[in-house]
Amino acid sequence: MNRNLWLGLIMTGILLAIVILGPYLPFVDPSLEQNLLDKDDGGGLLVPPYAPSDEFLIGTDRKGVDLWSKVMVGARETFYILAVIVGFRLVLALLVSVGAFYISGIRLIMNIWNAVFSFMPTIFIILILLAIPGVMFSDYRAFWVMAIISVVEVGRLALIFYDSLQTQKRQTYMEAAIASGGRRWTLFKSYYWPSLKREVVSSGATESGRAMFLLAQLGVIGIYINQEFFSQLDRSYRSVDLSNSWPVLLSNLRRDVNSAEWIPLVALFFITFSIIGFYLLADGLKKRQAIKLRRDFQ
Amino acid sequence: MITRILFPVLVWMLSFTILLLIILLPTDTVFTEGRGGSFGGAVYDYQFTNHWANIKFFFSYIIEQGGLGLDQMGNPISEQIGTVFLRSLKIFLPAILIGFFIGIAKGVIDYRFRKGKGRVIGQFTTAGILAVPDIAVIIVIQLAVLYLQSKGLVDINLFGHDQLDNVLMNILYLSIYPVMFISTITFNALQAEQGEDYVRTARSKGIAEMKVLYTHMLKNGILKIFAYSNTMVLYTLSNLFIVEVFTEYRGAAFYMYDTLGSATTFYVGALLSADVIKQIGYVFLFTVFILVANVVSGIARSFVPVQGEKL
Repeated sequence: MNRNLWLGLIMTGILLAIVILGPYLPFVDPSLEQNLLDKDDGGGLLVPPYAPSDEFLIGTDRKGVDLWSKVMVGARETFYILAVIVGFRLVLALLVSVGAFYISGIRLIMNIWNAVFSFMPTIFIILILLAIPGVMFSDYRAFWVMAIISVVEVGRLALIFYDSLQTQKRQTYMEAAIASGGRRWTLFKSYYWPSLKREVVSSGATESGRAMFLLAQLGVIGIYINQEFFSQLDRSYRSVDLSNSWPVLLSNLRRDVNSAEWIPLVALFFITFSIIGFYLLADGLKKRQAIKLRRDFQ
Repeated sequence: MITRILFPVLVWMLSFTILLLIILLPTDTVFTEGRGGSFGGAVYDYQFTNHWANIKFFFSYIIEQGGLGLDQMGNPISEQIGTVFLRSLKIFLPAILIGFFIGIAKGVIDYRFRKGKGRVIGQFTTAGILAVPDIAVIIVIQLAVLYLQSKGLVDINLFGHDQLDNVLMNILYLSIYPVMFISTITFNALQAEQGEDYVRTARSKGIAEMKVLYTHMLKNGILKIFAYSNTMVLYTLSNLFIVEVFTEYRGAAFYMYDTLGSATTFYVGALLSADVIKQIGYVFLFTVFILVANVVSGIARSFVPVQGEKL
C-alpha cells in the first residue's frame, strides 16, 4: 500500500475542504469582527490579543479577530495565491522545457537562465526585484509579485522536465517508435507527453510545498502579496498587508514570540501542515509512478 | 578541469552584470501628494538615458574612489561590508561544517539502521525536519528557551549579535537544514553503492560493518556529497537571511536587507535611498561566495562520471 499517497491525499483533501467550506465551518465568524475591548471576570478591561479561551478557540490576533475564523476564511486567499504562482510556473516551465527539447537555441537560453539564477538565493533575487519602484508602485503589484516568485524558479523546474524528456528519449522502445515511422507530433503526443504529464503532476505538488515555504519566509521579513501603504508617525509610509492569508500572521513574529505566541504557532501549524501534505502527496505520486512503470515492463 | 573553473566564472560575470543592471535601475518616481502631504499615489517613469547615466556614474565613481568610497559618516564602505561579512561567516561557516560532519555521520547511521525501528528516528525525522519550514523550527526552539527562562533554568540571549549566545544560537538555527540535507544525500549515495562487488568482497573478508561503511563505501560516495554542496550553500544562504533578519544578528544579510528596505518603507517625495553602492558590495561578496561553492561542487562532479566509466 502506498501510505504516503494516502496520507498526502487526506491532508490536501482537508485543506481543499477548508478552502471550499471555509466561511461555513463551525465556530467561524465570516465577518471577522474585531473585538477591540473585552472585560475580564473582575470587570477590568482587556485589550487584544486574547489568549486561547472558551470564547476564542485558538486565541485572537492583535486586532481581536478570532484566529480560527481568520485562518479558515484566509485559506481561500492563501491557496488562490499559491495556485496562481504554481500554475504560472508549471505552464512556463513546460513551454521552456519542451521548447528546449526541440530547439537548441531555447536549450541554450534555459541553461544560461538556470546558471544565472543559481548565483543568488531565491529570496535575494525576489527582494532585489521587488525593490524596483516600477514594481513597488504598480497598480498590479500583486500580479507582479506573484509573477516574480513564479519566474525566478522556472529555470530549475524546466530543467527537471527537460531531464525527464531526455530519459524518455533514451528508452529502447523509443527507437522502435521512430523506426516504425512515428512523426514528431505522434511521438510527442503518445510517448513524450504521457511521461511528462506524470512528472508535471508530481512536480505540481512539490512546487506547491516549495512556494508555501517561500511565502512563509517572505511573511517573516515583511513582504506580502497584497499590500497598501499607510502613513507612520514619522511621516514615512510603511506597507501594511490587508489580506487574511496565512503568511501575514507571521508579520509581527518578533513581538509575538514574547507576548502572543499562539499567533505564530497557529500560522506555522497550518503552513507546516500544508507543506507536509504537499510533500507526502508528491512522494506518493512518485512512488505510484515507479510501481506503475515496473508493472508496464513485465 | 580548467573549464570546470572557467565556466562558472563566466556565468558569475553574466549573473553579476544582470544583478548590477537591476540594482542600477533609475528610481525616477513621480509622487502625487494628497491633502497635507499624504500619499496619493506614485507613477514610475523608466528612462533609458537615466539608466545609462546611472551605470556610467557607478563605474566612474568606482574608478575615481579606487574602491567603494566613503559613506555619509566618512567611513570606508568596503571596510564596513568586510566587517559585517566576517560576522556572517562566523555563523555561516560553522553551520556548513557542522552540516558536513554531523550530516555525513547521521546519514551513515540512518543507513546502518535503515531497517526496523531505527527507520522511524533515522530516515523519517530527517525527511520530516526537511519539510518543516526553518522558521517553524526556530520559533519552537525560541519558545522552548523562553519557557526554560521563565522557569529560571537557563539564561540565553536570543536577539542581537554581540554575545556568544547569539552566535551559538544562530549556528544552531542555521545548521539544522545542512545537517538534514547532507544526511539525505549521504543516505542516497550509500544506497547507490549498496550492491557493488567491492562491498561484498569487503564483507566476505569479515570486515566489520561500520568499517565497510566508513572506509569503503563512504570514500566512494563522498564526491557525490560534495557535488551537492552548491545547492546546500544556496539554501543555507536563504536561511541566513531569515535568521539574521529575524534575530537581529547584524551580519551581511541583515544589512543587505536594510539597504533593500525601500521595498517596504518610503517617504513621500523621496524613496528611502537604498544605499546602492553598499548593496552592490553585498551582492558582489555573496555571489563570489556562491561562485566558490559552485567551483568546488563542479570539480567534485567532474570526478564522479570518471568513476562511473571505470565501472
